[in-house]
Amino acid sequence: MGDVLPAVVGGYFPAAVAFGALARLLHLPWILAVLLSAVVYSGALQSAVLGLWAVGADVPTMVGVGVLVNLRHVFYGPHLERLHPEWSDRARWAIAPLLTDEVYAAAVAHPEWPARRLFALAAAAWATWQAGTWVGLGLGALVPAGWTAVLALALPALFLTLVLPRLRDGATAAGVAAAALLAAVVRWRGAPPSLLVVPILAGTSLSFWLAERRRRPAPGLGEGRG
Amino acid sequence: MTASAWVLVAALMLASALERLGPWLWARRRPPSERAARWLEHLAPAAFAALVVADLPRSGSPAVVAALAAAAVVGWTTRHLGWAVVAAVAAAALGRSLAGW
Repeated sequence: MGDVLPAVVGGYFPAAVAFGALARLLHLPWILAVLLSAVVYSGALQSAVLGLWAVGADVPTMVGVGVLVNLRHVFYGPHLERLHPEWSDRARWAIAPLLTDEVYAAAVAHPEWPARRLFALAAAAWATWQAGTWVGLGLGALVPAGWTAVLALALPALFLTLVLPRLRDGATAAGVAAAALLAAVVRWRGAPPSLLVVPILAGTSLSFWLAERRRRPAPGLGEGRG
Repeated sequence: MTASAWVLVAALMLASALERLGPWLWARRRPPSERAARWLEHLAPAAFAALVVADLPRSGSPAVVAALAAAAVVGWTTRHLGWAVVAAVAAAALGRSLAGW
């Protein structure tokens, strides 16, 4: 775990500080910021909520976009189940709430790890996220109001950083471009934030459709099953 | 904190728990279809791209470009979200100071 722990902790702390500071600057109730970090615990979802809070989105919109942003998590558990069918239910219940992209990546990269070791990493990452949130909430009070716009750039920067490593093929790039373009149209037209689900689902479906087309063998070239 | 904020936390907590734990427990009985798993793999990039656009400020282009470029370079090279965010904020602060944004 020596190589993974510093990477996860070192990456989580500044991101959590940025979330806490932004929450303070965007006038999110501090208890809401603390609870989001503690019980929801997802940088992407929390940042999405911040962005939507800033534009006055309603609760159903924030929940809807949040569910979509984290829908990739539904794939993590079944994959870990395939890697570790021997893990107890207790281990599953303990690790699942702490599963993040990085913890999942560590689990896949180190399939030899026992559940206890993965839980230790996940718990350290969670504790780091909580500490960073509190520090950010404190620092946010010290930042002059005029600097809110500067700190607010952390949100698109965060999502851009999440997008770039995932651009692995043309299908994904096309889906990303379509989602970005449609999101720009939604925003340019002044549509309600709830319509953000449209570019997300359209981009996903386009990307999936293009990838599936590529997966199909050309007629006459595929191997028969019989 | 208002009642709607409590509802927001409760709904997101429930959704997160269901998304993380539900499929894991369900997979013990019935593994998900490969097709559904592949569709989900395409969801995150599209969602993040839409959120980049949704969260972009309406003005301050020099600082915005500096921030996003710094985040892209640092995020790509270090693969660390946290440092990418720090780089973005630092670049935006520098842009603000230099350009008076």
